[in-house]
Amino acid sequence: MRPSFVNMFRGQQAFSLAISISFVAVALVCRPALAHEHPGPDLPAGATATGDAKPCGDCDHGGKGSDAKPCVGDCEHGGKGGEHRGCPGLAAAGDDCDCPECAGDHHGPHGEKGEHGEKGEHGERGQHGEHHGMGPHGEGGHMPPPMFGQLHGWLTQLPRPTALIQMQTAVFTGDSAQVARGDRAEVAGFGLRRARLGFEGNEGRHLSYALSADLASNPQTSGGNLGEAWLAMHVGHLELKLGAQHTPYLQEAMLSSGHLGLAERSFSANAMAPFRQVGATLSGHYDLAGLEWYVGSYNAFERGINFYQGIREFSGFTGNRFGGVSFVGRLSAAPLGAMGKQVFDAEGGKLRLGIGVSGYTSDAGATRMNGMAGDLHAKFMGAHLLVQYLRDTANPKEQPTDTATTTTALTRQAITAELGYAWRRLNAAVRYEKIDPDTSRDDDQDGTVVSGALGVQLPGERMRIQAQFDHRQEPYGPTIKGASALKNDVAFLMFQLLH
Amino acid sequence: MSKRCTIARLGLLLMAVALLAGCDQQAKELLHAGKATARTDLVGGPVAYADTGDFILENDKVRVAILGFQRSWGPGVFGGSLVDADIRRDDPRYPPGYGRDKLAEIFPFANLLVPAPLGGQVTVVKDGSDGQEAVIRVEGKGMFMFEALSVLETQRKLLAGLGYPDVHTSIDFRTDYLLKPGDQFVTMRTWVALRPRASQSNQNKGFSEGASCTNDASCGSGGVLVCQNIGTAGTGTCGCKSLADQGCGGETCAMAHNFDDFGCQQCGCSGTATMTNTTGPVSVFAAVLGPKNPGIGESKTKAGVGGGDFVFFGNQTDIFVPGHGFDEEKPVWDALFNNVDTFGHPLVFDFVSAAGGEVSYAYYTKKQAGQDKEPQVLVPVFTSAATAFVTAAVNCSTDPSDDDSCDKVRVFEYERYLAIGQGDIASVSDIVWKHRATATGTVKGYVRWEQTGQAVANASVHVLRDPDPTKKWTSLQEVVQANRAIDASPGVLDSVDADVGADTVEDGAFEATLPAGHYVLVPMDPHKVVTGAPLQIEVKAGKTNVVVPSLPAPARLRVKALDSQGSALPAKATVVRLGSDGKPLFRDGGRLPYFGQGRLGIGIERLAFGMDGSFDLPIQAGTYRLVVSHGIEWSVADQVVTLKPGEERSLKVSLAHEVDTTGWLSTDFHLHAEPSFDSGMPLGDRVQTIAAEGVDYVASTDHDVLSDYVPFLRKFNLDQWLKAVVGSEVSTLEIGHYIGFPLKYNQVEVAGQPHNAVPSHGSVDWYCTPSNDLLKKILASSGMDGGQASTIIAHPRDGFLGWLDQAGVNAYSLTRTLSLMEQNNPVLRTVACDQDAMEVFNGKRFDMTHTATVKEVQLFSRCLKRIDDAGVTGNTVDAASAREVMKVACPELADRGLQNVVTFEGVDSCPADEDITTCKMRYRMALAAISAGDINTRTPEEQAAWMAEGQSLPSGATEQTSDTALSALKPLCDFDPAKLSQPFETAVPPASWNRPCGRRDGVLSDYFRFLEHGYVRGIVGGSDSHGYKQEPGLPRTYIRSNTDAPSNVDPQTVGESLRGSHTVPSYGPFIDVKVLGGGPGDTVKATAGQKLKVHVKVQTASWFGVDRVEVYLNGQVAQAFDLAVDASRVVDFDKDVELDVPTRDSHIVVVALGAQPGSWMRPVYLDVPFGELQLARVASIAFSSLLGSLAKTVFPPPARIPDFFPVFPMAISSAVLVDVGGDGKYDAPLPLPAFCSPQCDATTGEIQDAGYSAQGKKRKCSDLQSNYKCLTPENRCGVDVPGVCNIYSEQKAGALRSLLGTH
Repeated sequence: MRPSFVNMFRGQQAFSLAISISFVAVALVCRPALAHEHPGPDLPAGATATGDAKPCGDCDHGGKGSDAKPCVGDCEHGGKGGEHRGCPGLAAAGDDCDCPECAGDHHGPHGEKGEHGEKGEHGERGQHGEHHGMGPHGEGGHMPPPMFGQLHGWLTQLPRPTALIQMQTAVFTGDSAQVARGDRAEVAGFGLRRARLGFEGNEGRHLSYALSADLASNPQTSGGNLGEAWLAMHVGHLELKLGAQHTPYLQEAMLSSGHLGLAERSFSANAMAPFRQVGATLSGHYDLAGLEWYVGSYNAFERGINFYQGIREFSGFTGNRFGGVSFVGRLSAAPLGAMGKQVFDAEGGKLRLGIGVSGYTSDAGATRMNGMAGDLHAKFMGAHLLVQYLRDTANPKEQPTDTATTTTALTRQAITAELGYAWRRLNAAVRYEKIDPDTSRDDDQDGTVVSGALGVQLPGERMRIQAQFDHRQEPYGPTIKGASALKNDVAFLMFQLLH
Repeated sequence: MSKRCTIARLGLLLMAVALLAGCDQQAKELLHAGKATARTDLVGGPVAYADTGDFILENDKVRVAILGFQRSWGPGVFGGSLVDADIRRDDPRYPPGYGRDKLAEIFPFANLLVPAPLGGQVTVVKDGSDGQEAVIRVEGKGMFMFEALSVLETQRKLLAGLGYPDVHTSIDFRTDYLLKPGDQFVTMRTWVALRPRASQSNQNKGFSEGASCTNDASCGSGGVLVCQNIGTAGTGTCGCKSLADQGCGGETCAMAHNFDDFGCQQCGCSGTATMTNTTGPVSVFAAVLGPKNPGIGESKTKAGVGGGDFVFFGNQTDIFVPGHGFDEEKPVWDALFNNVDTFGHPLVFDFVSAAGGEVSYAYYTKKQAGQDKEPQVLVPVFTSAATAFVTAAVNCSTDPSDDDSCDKVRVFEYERYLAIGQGDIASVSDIVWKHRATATGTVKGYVRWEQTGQAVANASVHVLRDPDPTKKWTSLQEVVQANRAIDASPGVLDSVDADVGADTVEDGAFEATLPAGHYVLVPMDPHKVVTGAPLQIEVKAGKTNVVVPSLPAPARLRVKALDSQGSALPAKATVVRLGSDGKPLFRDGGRLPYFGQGRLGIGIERLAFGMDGSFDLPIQAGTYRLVVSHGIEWSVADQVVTLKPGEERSLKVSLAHEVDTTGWLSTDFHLHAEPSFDSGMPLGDRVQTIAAEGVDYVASTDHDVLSDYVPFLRKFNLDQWLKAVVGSEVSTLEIGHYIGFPLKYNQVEVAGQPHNAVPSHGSVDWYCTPSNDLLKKILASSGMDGGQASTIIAHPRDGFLGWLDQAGVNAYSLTRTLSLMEQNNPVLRTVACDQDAMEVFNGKRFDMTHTATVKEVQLFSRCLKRIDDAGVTGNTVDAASAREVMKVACPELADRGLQNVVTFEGVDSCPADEDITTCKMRYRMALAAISAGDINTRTPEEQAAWMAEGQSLPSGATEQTSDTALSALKPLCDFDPAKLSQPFETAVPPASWNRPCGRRDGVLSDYFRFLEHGYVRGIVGGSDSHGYKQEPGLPRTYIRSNTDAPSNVDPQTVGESLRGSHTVPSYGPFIDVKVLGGGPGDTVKATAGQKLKVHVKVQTASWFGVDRVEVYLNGQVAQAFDLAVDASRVVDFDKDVELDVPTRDSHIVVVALGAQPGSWMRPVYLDVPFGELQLARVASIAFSSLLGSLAKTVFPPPARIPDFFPVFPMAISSAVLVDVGGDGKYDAPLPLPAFCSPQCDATTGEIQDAGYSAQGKKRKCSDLQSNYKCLTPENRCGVDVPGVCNIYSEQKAGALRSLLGTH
């Protein structure tokens, strides 16, 4: 019923056409001047290094090869680089310049990326600090001989394939287990959790891009099986990323699924974080106290029918359903040193502390949704603690005239606490969650979840095997009748292969 | 920024401002009426009919199309009707000519006449260029849409004798379709001009009707008829005089001159009087017929004019009436069950609207000067697809005081409106309120999910009357119950869609206006699965209410159906809601028909179809019985599930093929989908429903249009399951329906044409075509790869739409007697009998199978009357006493333990909390089930009595004899309430109990008599499915085949099997009959006196069964077997039945039936419930009502035959013919039926067909029946019916004007 500017505009086709023609005319007339005002890159892509960075030694043109060789010595330029690129975790640590943290995903000889983002059951995001990869030769990377420079530049600009395969085996499912309620499986057996295929690459030293698709069906993804589709521009400390991407909201949601403490993210993160959306993100990354900030604007968010369906991803894939936009912001710091991309304290180092706060507001047509989250991440001597609090509200844009009979705000909140320990390639973690999908009432959506997981990460971080058990308690569920717990406990094994 | 750029940007800004202003001005001036010259001028849409050459009327809000001079391809007959209507869509998804029209057709009527415009009578009066208004005018002589209605014209003397003189049946029409700038409605203003004739009183004085001054054409140009030589006694003659001689100028009148009482033209033009808009219930016949009609509105008035429109909203819209909401059928059936004649006491609604999702419509009027309240529309005929509205009427008083203002006025005017909205009811209600200047407030907001606060895109909000604003309503049921206590309606007044129509921003927002008052809002999700809590508001004029109602999350049920090999199986899921006692809820269960959920009956909540065996059903929380099925030959999966809000459950089920039908194909040759105007089912859905029922071979048979299922078979990968050919149901209005398949269908040709350029896609045009020619036309359309087309007569005993009924075929003598209403219908001069087959089973019409006996009908009527009357005192019903009375409502069945009829289905009484209206329906339905079962259980005595009625006539009997027999039969089944207190034996003498009820004949009964007359044709069962509630393949036809694989079926072979009568029509059971190695349709040789072994095997799947098998020899029940009720049995009957071969050529037929509740097919096949209205039934009701009104004082109401029942498993094998004479063929003992029109020699009058010869001697037409002639040019025997049919060809012949004058 709401009048739409777009529709009004469509209604005047002649007008629209005339305006379009006029714009083209103006653009043609103005082109030289505009070009002059906004000069583009004037260096051939990939042909020139900045020169202020040094080669990264064994890291081979940038971060590090897939075989995870240490990049001793030059790491501050190759791994980290003057632009805070490369190995953010190590750079912040800055002690021995070993780049194990760089070794992760797909940062090949020509720069690196945070990782091909992926999604949990309800979506997840890739590593923060992603796409800090260098230009074609790595910022500060060594130059090839001139006679091979052009060919080398061309070759190094080829997109690099990415892949993620994750299979899960439910070995036990309770009678009430349901995927729709956030459970990992509702029947015992095998399932393909993720099957992502894509590529990523660079175009010059200021541009990078990624495109991937998930071939495993996911009923929660309204926009089809698109994984990521973005283009990022890097200038100084800043990065502007455009396209389908992870929104910068909540630590756990921004971590790669390959670097979680448990096989799957918490129920509340899956349900309350927006994960991948279509829009633009501007971010800044600084050495000082590991400070990072993000602001982004995306198509307005759309929640599912129930709490566990979370926020639909890629609502813009088939058009911006509500015509509105959302804004997301995050500020984080790691004052005691970089936290790394893993939840675990794999290196068993000294105390590090990461804190972050996030918020969003979304203009979903008749509704406005606001959310906030805070996270605290600590690592010490192989142990880690991750505590998160999430709260959001859906409000009618126009307040009901008779509040006695009509609904106003709907607020939900959740808190999670995860404690874990890693020893060599083995790790273990437990997580506690308390979820309240509607703070104004007690109902069968309320619940607590206790999860425990054991895992092993195989060499190269390319392969991970993990076992997890979830126990859920829904105190107001109709099947409990005040007597026994719901039988929606789930035990499952996860096998993950990354490339 | 450069200077150059700055200038350019300024220029752009100026241009934008100028264009905005210009566009605004352009929009305001958009007003146009004219002929469509290009596709882009048209409306377009799913049911758009208009084409270039037709007329377009449009402004900045709406665009409508009006047919030019042509025959209508819509549900109407003549041109000039409003066929397409849509809002203007400035949306690139809907470019000009590709709108979303969902309106079938609208055209005016007055006194049951409709305008028939000829060439030049559809014109543009104002093209809108003045910016004031645009007008398209349609003029035309009034014709009867149904020739049957011409009884009002042809039987004027009879009507006068019955007390209805001077009925106006000669009317000229003029209708202006008018638009003004900014109007969201089309104004339809009609003038009806009464053509004069001498009044009855003057006829009585000596002026015969024929001498009245009605025929101005006879005076030639410039002359007028005037009355001369009028004597003192009022006698005189008419003659020609020039206008000058009359003292008149040369004036021409827009509609009519003045006339005197003798029907003679006078100087001056007639003035125009405005008809009064109806503001309450008045009898339609009171308006048309005059003073002596029954019903409301009797007063001292003369015959008058009742005007309105036939409105065919079409089945792609959902009809809404304020009060009953989307359950518009409920008041119709309430009226029927209360024996209310809806013509005498029409339904009354504030307005009637129809929601089509993307476009909506409302039909309404507004108050006239002097009226103190808004008018209402009267609805005498109503189905979801077709409605007749009466909106205005005029009856002049017998008091002379109104002569000048009424009696002498020949032209009457009435006006009504068609609002066109965004897609929901509220958007047209808004238009109505605004147009009527009703004080309204605004309600807006959005619907959201209770658990997440997320807006529910495309949700709806239903608006109910708040029955008591001082109360707090906690549930919808409370509100509805309280509203029903007020006026028997649920009080649904409006329905608002969020993101209405094609809104691209799906933010869940809604907005509507409502008249000031108290309301209850109830939200509903877009899939119509869940509703939210009621929300009470008060709307004040000029104020805005913002509301945010919430919806609980629906549960989901995911099912996967596999066959025994583990392969995916196309299947159907039936989900039945169970009550707290674990039993299915009665009737609608949890469904809310008044909110548009439709009616499924027997507690069924959802039906779903999965082509790969997968179902994903959103459903409200509750406990359900889930039954997954794949038609009648397969087992079912049957289990109970409980779902809570938001819960999702996955199930896997396995089905097995249980019934061995090797050598037989399961077919359905009677199916409809969206191309039929009365079906809203998309073609893709149609194909899915067929495949889910396990049918092997089908023909698409939409009404008068060809459509092709094959693309959808491919789309759903169903080739291995189903084969489809193109056919059509040629749906004449008055000579029955004819199915033909396979027919030529050039997909490329059709695809290359816009849909509405070839609306029929090549189907046969039946207009004014007698049945013999119709069959030839169908055969001429034979094509595809099926060779010669097969032809089938559909539902031959379906009253107004039935071939045998319309032809007036006496079921006993097989002679013809045209009904009073068809005596002027020239297409009934002859009757074709050359079709390949006829339907003995049609849909779930168990009322059309066997002819009921007098006892069955009387017993049903008596019990029903006691149930209807139970607890009733005046207008109130005492529930307690009603319950007690109903428990003993049927003492006639006491010996069967069924005095309390609901015990039949395993309950003792209605639940304590069930309202009495529902409780009564429970009793009625149980009674109907018993009665229908009894009717279809044929005892030897009943069948013998049936056959004897015909055989009692001497060979070569005249029709007078047979008619006498019929007229003696008919009164036997007339129900006399006065005899209700008498013992049954007294009220209905036992001697007549087994005799047939002569008012309703069954096709199975016809079949046996046809066999006796040697009229051997194939018999089939066709589902006639129009929607989801009529399952494809129920009934179906098993047809002998050389392959069991649908993909290998050769249509030519199917046609040959059909023509060879190798068929077994079935509602479920599969009958295998073997006689001397022959089967159904075969002729076997036997010897008189021989013991003949008839091997009969009856199979049913393990979830239904048969409990009776009847073996017929020469139309008599030779042996009958009552079986124990055991649904789980697959082979129900398998034995050799021994018969004595008589001395004549014979025929053997087997019928199997499951009449007991334990044998029924619930819930896989839906009951025929209260609430289902088909156009055919309504047409029958309408005509019965007309006749009943005319003759109510003469005849008592006919007895009722149950027409709502569960699905009985039932099947019949085609006859195995036994040649006893040894000539290798079946020789019937009686001559071919007289009703068929054999070819004859016009010079000698002799019949050419040897089958009609008697003892080797050719007979004449008059030998068949005395009023038969060898007609020319047909050269067939028939009845010499006068009349004019094809007005268009007659116009071309130049004779039309005078011919039309005969009316």
